[in-house]
Amino acid sequence: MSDAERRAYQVFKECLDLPDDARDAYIDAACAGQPESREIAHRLLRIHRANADDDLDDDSAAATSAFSRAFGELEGADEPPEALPDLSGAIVGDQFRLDTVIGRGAVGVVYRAVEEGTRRTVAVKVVHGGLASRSEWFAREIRALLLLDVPGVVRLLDYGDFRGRPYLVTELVDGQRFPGERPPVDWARLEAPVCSLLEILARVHRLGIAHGDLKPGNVLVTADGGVMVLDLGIAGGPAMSATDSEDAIWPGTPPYMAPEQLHAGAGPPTERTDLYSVGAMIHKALTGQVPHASASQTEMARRRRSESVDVTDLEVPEHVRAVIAALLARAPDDRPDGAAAALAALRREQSPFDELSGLDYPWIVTSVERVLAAASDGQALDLHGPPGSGKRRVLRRAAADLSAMGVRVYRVCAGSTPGSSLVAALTGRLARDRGGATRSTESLAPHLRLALESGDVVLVDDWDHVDPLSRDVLDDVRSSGCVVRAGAWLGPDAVAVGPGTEAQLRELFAGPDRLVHLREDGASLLMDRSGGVAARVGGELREWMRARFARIVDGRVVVDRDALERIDRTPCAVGRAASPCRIGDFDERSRDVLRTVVAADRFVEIDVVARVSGISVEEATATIASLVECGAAAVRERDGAVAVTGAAPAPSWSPDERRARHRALAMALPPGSPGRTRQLLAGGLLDQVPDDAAARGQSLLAEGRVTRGLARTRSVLGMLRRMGAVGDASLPIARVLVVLAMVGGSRDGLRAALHELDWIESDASELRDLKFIAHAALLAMTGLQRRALAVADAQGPVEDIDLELRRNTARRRAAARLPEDLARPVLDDLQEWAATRTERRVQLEALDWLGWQRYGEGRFREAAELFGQIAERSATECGRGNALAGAASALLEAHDFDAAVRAAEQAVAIGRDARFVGLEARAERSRRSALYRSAQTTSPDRELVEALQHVRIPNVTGMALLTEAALAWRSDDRSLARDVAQAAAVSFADNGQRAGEILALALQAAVDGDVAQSEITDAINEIVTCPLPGIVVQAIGLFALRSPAAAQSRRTEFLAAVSTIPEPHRAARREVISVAEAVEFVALRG
Amino acid sequence: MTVFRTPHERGINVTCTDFDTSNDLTELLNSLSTSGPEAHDELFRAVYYELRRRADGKMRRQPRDHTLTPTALVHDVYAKLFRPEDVRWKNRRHFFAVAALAMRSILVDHARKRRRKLEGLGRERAGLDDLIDVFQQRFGTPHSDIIDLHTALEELKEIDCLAYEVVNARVFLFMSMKEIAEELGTPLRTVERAWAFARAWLLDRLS
Repeated sequence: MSDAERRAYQVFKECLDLPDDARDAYIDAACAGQPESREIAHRLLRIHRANADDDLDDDSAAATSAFSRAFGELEGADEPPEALPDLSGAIVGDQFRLDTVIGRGAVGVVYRAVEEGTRRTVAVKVVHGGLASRSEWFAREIRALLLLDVPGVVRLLDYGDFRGRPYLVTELVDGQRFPGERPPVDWARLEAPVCSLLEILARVHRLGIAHGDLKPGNVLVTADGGVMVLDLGIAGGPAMSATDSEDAIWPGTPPYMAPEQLHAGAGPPTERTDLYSVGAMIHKALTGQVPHASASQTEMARRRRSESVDVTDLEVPEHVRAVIAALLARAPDDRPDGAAAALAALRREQSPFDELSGLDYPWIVTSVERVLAAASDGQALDLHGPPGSGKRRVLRRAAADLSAMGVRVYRVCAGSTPGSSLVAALTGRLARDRGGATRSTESLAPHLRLALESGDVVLVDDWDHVDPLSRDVLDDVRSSGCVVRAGAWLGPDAVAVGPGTEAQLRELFAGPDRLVHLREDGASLLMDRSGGVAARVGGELREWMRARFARIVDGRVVVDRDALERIDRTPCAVGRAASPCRIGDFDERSRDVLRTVVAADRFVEIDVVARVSGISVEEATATIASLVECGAAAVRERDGAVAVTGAAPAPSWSPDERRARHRALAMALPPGSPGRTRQLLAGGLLDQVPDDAAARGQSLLAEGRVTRGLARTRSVLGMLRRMGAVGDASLPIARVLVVLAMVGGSRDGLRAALHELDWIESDASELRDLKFIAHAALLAMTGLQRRALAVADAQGPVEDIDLELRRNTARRRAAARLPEDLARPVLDDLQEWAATRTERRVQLEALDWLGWQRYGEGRFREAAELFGQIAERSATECGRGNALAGAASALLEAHDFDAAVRAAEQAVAIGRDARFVGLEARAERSRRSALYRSAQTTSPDRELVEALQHVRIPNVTGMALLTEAALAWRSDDRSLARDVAQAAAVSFADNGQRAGEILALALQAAVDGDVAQSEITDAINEIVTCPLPGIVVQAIGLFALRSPAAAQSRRTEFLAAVSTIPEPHRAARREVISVAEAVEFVALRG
Repeated sequence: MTVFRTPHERGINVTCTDFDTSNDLTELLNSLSTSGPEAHDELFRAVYYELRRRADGKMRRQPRDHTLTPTALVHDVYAKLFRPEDVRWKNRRHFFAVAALAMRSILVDHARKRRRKLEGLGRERAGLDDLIDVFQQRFGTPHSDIIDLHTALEELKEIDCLAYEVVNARVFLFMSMKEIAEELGTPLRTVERAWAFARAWLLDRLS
């Protein structure tokens, strides 16, 4: 550094302390006589000025940076700190070491803490002691978090009691309070966090939970722009409103509370109060002030209850202003209809109708091709089909295609004035007067003939309603060229348009058919609801999209399984979609039959229709045929039985008549049959609903249709809840719901069940038992096994044998993932209990427990044998399928691959037929793995890989992906192998299965080597501690391909692991490679 | 002049077996003021290793929307290596200085590797690329290459040590001015001046 530079730097720094306009002069003065220094200093100043705006303004005192939050120097706690013993340094729940206090809330103190084993940093909230009500709030938060495993809401990791104070452990969120920077903020920067927040709220609200205390401090924005919602302290379902007295004061933060909450005796928070809070947060972020900001809180509350918020000055786009105004509406009913609606309005989403035009119905495409062929041959063509079959769609598409090909097209539409149809088509204008029209029409005929002869095309829409004069002319010229007529019935030679077949509908859907069966079931559902009639297909799809069950991506309909179940439970879009036919012309019998068919809402068999309408089957068949002809109904034949569904609005009738018809339908349908529950509900026979729904749930369970059964029973409980009719009578459904959720084995199912149980008002001990059993089962699946056992043990045993069986199943599941010394007593106890019982279902369940116990002990043959016994003795398909899947897993581990494939194939078939996704996925995984291990398959199954992205089942998804990745690797498809191995690693990591994650990583390393050396070393050092020698051997073997030295460094452990595997098993492939291969890789590279 | 070198440049092979006990590191950090350069090197290697492992490993397996920030990384590393209640407050300054250097050398090593690889074959993005993107955005000058910055910074160290420290903390740890002032025990205004100088000087040097 030269002296000149040194001087320049010094001067530049000094000048920074002066006002900007004095700096140049200072430099000139200070560097007088030193031109070089002066020039350098000026240059630096120029650069400084040019970049001054880039200076990130994160230094303001109010902005809590992620950094200080992470290190515990938190400012801005919403309440003054309260005297509470400092628990820093203490260890709660045996594993969380408390560190610094990072926040204080209404309920407790939040500490940063470190989990001892994993060193993961978490947040631990400890409740203030003494106040029972606070503990109550705390319990609410725990329950809310258990129910909510929603992206964007902090996840619950553990909870319990510490020195008499309840605590809960959640993820630690590293972020800044909403909106992530200091207000005021302009809309462009605010839009993303607001939309994220609304998305999260929409998901939370869908579960029936309101947050209740939304404010900037409870909504954190992370450095990458993600939004996280914390503190569901007041969030709650109904149980609270039932227990809280009328004058309860709901906690909250007044500046962000809705007007209706700001007085004593206000009701519990709702979706609408949450939306107001969001409005207030947006207002604060845009202006720096909450709405109605006042000197005192009392004044603010008064103004909020009496004054509207003025949003005219906000500098936001017009549609955003409208949304903010709606969010801040004083009357709850004036606020947007849910967070999703607010979000859609903010994003100004296109109406779904427009998207639909991009969808090509295959049968329409076929008809369009016929028209194009006729045009090129210069031949006339007739298209016919009932109203709504899509004739106009065909003509529109054909017209567009022909015009694009340079063909002149005349489109003739309905008209009543003589000649008007044709004149309008040819001149583009409606004929003004009759005389003119007549003259024109007559003179047009030769002209038209000439045009047709020269290759022009005439497309006639709605032939039956074209005026007679035009029809005469068109009939006259048809022989001259391509005149395409479309009408209801144009004789036996006409081409029928639609309806689409189920196979054609399948082409409309995207997504894999494996495991999730999205195309198959999407098409089948759409067929059931639309009969393949174009107008109804469109009407249905529009409804699906409006309800956000479906989207259109790349010209295909995208739905997921959950949406399919939900759609299936909503009424059809029939009435609105179909073109109404002339119902007035029908005779009384036709009208009556149509009413029955429409009331049935779904396909209903003809004999049921006959019985309800009081006519013979023959009469019903004839009447329905006439209805179908005019487009008012559609029929379907399946398994030899003809069923019918309505395609037009029912002829007007009184509500009483309608209710009576629903009752008649309910009586005509056998108990527990599909659709009967809805008839009972619509017919007002509420008292019969619970038993019917329970019967339906039972029969779905027996058929193994667990996924559907769960959705059904849950929806019925939901309907009863909305009708205010959930009491003791609902217990039978609740019981089936819990059983289905436990058999289904998904956390979401159990969460949903728990949520519904919360709404039931009953003092029966059965309800209490169902709740704690479901709770224990959920905990066992959430990784809180000890807690699960504690819950199941504390309140059991129960008298009811079926519930006791479920309780014990929950205990078995919890024990399965505990260390041997803790699990053993539980498992022994279970077998002892089972030995005292004689019921067949208990015996079968006990065999299942024993099977998994043997499996866990590595006694796979015995396990397979036990599962085989269950499969033989099981009375239900579901039980048989589960047992076969268990047997397949055990046989796989016992290296009996052919038998494993056979068992798995049977289980796959049962799972597929029952659409029991969990079962099918598990069995499919065993099947593929057995085929891979016995080298009976050589290529990866891409559709399966895609399907696996839709199903996230612990223990299954990761292993299944790993098998496909291994196949891809062996068939040298490196990019697929890498992607799938990575997906497998993510799946394992999601479920905390570190060994699987490392094995997937090893495969990734073997495939393309883009894994850091340090990571390999680290992974090898970690995997040698894994208790499964097969995994150790494979991982080190695969890593040896990439990093021979690292593998060699653990040679001793490697060889030790190899030696534990019996000689005969060394040649067989395992999850990825065989032991022999691993030995070869290590030796080769060493 | 002493030029800061990344472990790669110094030929140090960092492995995890060297650093299993956080106790030792806490001791190490607490005794830093009295011990020699080896202790500093040791600490650097530990922090480097942890950061590197987490930065690359984590980001590789995280879904795409899970961007990891240096702040989160450093926070993790701090939690892993030290028992906070044992670490004397003033020594945090050492930790941050070391962490910033470690973060920088990770990014530089990675950028070098990337540059080499880009010349040869097209390749997939690694987790660290995201971090470099964040850095580019944050530093705000698209033309500034991290490797050039690395070289320039070593020159700056000779010219103005405080400015050098501030840039390290601000650019590689994303710390705010206020936090830097607190960690360094220096008045905020001084830190701001140092930053203004460093930025002008670096932009001049890099253009």
